[in-house]
Amino acid sequence: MLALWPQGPVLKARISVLFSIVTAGYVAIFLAQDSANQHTNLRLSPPLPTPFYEISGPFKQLVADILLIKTKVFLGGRSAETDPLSYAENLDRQFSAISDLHPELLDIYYLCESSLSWISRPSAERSNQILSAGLEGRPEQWTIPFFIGFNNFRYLQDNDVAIRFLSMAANKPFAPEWVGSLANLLSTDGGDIVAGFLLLREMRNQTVDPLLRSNLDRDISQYQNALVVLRAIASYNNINGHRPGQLTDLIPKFLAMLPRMEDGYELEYFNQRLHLHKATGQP
Amino acid sequence: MKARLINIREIARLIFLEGFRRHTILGLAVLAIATEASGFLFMDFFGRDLGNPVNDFIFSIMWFVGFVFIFFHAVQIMAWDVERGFIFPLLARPVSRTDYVIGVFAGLSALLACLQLLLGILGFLTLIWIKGSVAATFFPELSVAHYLYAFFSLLAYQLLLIAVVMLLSSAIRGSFPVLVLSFAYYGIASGLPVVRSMLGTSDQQHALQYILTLLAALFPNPSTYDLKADVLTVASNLTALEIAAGFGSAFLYMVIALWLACLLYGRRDLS
Repeated sequence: MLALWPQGPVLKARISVLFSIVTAGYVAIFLAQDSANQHTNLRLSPPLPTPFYEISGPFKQLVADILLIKTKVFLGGRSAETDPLSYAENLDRQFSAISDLHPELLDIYYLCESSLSWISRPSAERSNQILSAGLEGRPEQWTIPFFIGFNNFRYLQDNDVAIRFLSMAANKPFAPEWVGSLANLLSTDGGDIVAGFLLLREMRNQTVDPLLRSNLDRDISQYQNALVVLRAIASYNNINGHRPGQLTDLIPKFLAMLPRMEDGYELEYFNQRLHLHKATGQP
Repeated sequence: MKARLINIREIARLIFLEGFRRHTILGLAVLAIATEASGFLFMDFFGRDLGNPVNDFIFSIMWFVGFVFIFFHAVQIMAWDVERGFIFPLLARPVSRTDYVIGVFAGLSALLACLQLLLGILGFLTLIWIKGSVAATFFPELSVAHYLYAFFSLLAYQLLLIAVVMLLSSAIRGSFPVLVLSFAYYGIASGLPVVRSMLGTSDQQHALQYILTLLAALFPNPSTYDLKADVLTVASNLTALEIAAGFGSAFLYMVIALWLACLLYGRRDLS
């Protein structure tokens, strides 16, 4: 039996061939898997419940840093067609876990504001809860109450709460003067439209990305339309001594026609006050 | 008394030199520096708040390297003394078992302190360098006093852990069971605060609350000694009483653990 089994150089040659086949097989399978993975769209998995991370003791801040990097990689690498609502919940959970583990980390709040707040009304509410952790973690920062105020103004349309947080931001060290002016402006009649216009114009001036600039330009044009109506209401009030009962009363003397609102924006005239709303889910 | 102190010093020196001879410090320092260097590649992911992740990273590496030292060097040093018979020539001389336990603890503590001091200085220089190379917006504060406090708190917990390893080694034979139990000790110490916070302060579970409080005293929470978050804050107000309580409790815990270790080692059959 042993005599049938090849020995010496023949055995060595066969072992070499077999080894080469196994190695080539592994490399082929690895490359196929690797290639398949690269074509898969990035997905953001939900984090584990926070207590699991808290068990890591002195490493929990590092865990938070790593979770934030993972979230940034997802946000930077997702395809442009990905529906924001498909990942909003997991994004919210990631930010919640990270802010629970490391409330002092400022990057969380900037990323949360730019990636979660605008997706939907519930996202804006969740975003404000996450940002609230930052009020305690980084009490010296004016940007965090500013973000909460901005979300209440723009996405939740609750100007009373917005004014409260903008005033809080204005009282923080190093807060620019315009934050306090915004809070004052919001409390005036039609001030929300003027404040929104000024905010968006400032954002556009500071934005480098051409795509974002063009989105902001579209928003600004809607605010400009609303400002035209606001000015017409003021003229009507000056001449007639009272405000119009409805917006169509402005036509044709004060306004040739009501402006056509686009991109989910709509004008609302309620209790003789003009408001500009944006449908939720619109970026 | 003087003779005993000399004995302890000589055993500590043996353990200290053994650590250098086995390149423990060198290996762990290289590991820590290589990890730090590779970790800084990820710092570009943080656009606003560079101080926090760098500080987290530096202290996490110090914690990690300390744990590697304790679990994989200190545990084996204690076990090898018996398993390889190193202890017999020592105990054949006029050295008591108590002197031996305290001497080994002192030697291991000195080694760990050397290692952490090296990493602490490197870490602080790194923080200063990064703070100097970015605008104040991205790294506004760095408190030397808080850095020192966080550093010595970390060291205090890790010395406490060495005392626990000494206690476990005095009661159990073999490095592997001691290693497993040391991991279990650390796991319980880290997990217990989570259990306590989840159960809250329910009035209906008085007995359980007492048991958990007792367990928390037996297994001190490592996060209590993790003060790295204060290094970058301005508003943190430390009181002398808090500092004294933190270090005092660690010191007393170490004394109790070593005392028990000496008692157990004195009664142990080494054959």
